Amino acid sequence: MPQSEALHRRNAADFCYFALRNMTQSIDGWRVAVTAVAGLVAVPLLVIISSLLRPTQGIFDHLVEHVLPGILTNTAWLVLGVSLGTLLLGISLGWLTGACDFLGRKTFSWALLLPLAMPTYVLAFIYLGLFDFSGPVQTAFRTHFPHSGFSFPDIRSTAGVIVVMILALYPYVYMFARSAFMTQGKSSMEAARTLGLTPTGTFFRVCLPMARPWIAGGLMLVIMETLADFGAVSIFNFDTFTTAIYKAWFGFFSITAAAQLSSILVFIVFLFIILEQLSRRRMRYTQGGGLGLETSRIKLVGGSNWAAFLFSLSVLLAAFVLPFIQLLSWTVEVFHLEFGSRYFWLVGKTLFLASIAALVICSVAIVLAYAKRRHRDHYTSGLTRMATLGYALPGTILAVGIFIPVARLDRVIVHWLNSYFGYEASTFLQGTLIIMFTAYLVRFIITGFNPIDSATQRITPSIDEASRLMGVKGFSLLRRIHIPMLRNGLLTALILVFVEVMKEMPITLMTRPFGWDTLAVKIFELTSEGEWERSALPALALLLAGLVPVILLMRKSEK
Amino acid sequence: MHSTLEVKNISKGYHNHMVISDIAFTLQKGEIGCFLGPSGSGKTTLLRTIAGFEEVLSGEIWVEGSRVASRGFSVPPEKRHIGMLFQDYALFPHMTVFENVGFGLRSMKDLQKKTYIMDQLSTVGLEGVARKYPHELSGGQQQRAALARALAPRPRLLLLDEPFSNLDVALRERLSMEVREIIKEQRATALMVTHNQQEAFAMADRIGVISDGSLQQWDNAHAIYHRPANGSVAAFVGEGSLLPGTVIDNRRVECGLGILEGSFSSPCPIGCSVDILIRPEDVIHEDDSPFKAMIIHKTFRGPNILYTLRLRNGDSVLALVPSHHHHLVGQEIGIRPQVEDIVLYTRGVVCLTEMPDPNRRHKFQVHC
Repeated sequence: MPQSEALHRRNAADFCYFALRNMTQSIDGWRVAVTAVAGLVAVPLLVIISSLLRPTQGIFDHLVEHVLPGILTNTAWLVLGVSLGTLLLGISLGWLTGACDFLGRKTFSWALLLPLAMPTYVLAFIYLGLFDFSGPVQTAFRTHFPHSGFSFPDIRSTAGVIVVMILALYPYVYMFARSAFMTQGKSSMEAARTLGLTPTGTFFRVCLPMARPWIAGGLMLVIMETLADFGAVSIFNFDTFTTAIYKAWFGFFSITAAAQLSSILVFIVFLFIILEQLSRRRMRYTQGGGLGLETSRIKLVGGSNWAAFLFSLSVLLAAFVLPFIQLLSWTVEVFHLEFGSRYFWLVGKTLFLASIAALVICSVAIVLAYAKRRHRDHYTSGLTRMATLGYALPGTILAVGIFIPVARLDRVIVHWLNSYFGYEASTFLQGTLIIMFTAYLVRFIITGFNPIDSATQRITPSIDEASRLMGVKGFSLLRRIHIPMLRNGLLTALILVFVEVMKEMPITLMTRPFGWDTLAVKIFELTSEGEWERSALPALALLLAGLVPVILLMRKSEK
Repeated sequence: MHSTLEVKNISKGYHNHMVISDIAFTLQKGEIGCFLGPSGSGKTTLLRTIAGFEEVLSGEIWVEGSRVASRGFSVPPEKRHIGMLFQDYALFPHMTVFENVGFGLRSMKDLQKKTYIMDQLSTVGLEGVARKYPHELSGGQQQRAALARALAPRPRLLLLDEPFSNLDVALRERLSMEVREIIKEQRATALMVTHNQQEAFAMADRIGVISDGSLQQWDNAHAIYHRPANGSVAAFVGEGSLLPGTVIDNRRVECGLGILEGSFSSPCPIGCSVDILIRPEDVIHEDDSPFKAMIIHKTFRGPNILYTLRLRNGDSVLALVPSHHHHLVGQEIGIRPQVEDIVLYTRGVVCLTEMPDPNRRHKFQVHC
């Protein structure tokens, strides 16, 4: 039949047309960029995992025999202890400030977030300084009770490092648990009460199970931070994977052994990444519904009111106020000795690095967010997620995983330059800031991406279309609609990345070119010699910088 | 004089799935048209194609006598002078209401622009909130701000994409009347899409019923309800039932309600099997009528009750009865059919409107 044949031919032509258009559309700058950033996450991982196949002249065997059992046990105890502790503090404080009402509740609900401003390694050296044998606490005790015979437990112990990390990290669980309790609505609580549960029963059988995905999300962040921590454990001389990796590279000078140790840590981290992604997915399904608890808080009276107050107060004192006072008093003590032109250089370099890193990282984050906005397909969203997974990788791993391929590339480039241009040098990329910035990018891209992404999501396709119908497109659309709508998100992203880079320790320590010390590196050097007082000055600077994102967070959670 | 909008047999879709196919209609200056159809029927795609955000695969679109789209040709949206009210309003959150409304006005001098914007705002009753930001407005105010913004550049045609779907039911009815008044006052031509027939009836001069991407009927509200072109329009618009019956002569048809007499919606040969559309208001309740039917379901609706009745032959019909006629489920009540125009569709004889194509979803149109 001629008509159907014509129709068939037209369909075939259409098919070719659309297939071709799909193909050309699928290869574009946005997708290439997302693939490249995802590659920056994938390459270090592949390098580290493939290192298991490389020989190390017995260093790795030595590590497996003498080091690995110790660090595995230490890591297990650390993760277990910190998880339990942060859960206990985070959930109880989240419940008290989120669902109950007691003396000082409003102040505590934001003040309990303050420890987020304190880098773990800063809290660690303050606690060591406070509770050491020669520290103020034990000295005061000996003066007042010279014959009590009581001897303090050693702070340099597994328990000591666990306590410090609980105090530094509980806000993650607290923050998530609190918002879960606040948003889960009173209707489900009231339903439980009408079905015959007591308030306590309601907490354990309804509220806690409903908040579980959020709490799990907070806990996963705690575990990632614990596994990634380098500063606090090295101050306590508590050997974990991160310190072992550092020692393998800078003690045994075997980067391959460092990579092999990293690969084991990668597997552990991956286990928790999968758990985290699962908990996030469930968070989406159980969210929302009902009125907030704001109107029906459980009023605590009498003894329980005071107990709640004292409990919150003592956590706040232990995790923030006392360490802060100690830091201030040390700073006052050493200020006239320490402060000088050297510090201007140090601060200047730190600020310079953090600003450049913030600019680079946020630019890449903008590209990722726009790619995700333009291509709503599985390929782009999957790769975007992969590109932002680097936050889970400990800095020590990234340092090793990026150094190795860059060093290999460097050999090729140097060889090539040498043979074609007669370039006479042993390195080209090494000794520049490129390794450090790449590692920063992988680790902190999510910090910049999240606020920018949520800002771009507010620019709905219909906003673009509305302005296009009114004749505004191209650069003018960017200037009049996109840039003003992105401004706040971008500013938040810049600040957050800036502060993260300032506080970052292991990447900077392991990959900085000669002379590029930051405040965090300075703290590492001073604390490794036990100079707590002298570390106070740079630590105070970091603490104050760290308060900025915490204040941003508080303002956001108030809304 | 050209029609404001003339859509000539446009189709759009991909090689194995047509989103809209062969749609043709015209809209005159000052008219409000409305496309009514279930979600996924292609009505939003149609609107976006007219706006210029999507290209047509075949057919042509003409606006005020000039061609704006055909296969491989498309005037860009900003050159079409078409305004659009988006489902989510798409107000610019960083601009005040005043700035939003002024966004599309570029050729005007500042002072003139300012009075013009305030004029526009007062027609939608928003002069008091000109300096506020969109998030400070209520849903209804946001919608009117978006309407003022879309109308401000005096578009040749205004498109409205499900304009009331984000509002609550009570507000919907009032706003649909207000929006109609504003559009009529500005002598604008408008085309909207919705899945809500009450909105369509309240707003539109002409209604197009669309299903599976094709236009089933393009007519005024009265005709859409009382003389639906085919079974699928009858099923989608209003309530009612299709009773099987047989044509006796050119004015009479026999069915479960007895012999109905009246003028046929389309001529049918004697003896032809047909489906007859019976609306609930066509079945009158009379206690002393000899014709009885059993109540199998009832829905109280305030002023009246909707009964579902089983006829003697087992077919069922709906009857809308004033609510003081209170009967119980299971009771038999007397009824009398009251039909002057008989809407009927031939059964079994299905005439295809175009070549069956294995790649497309089948589309039948029923006529004698």
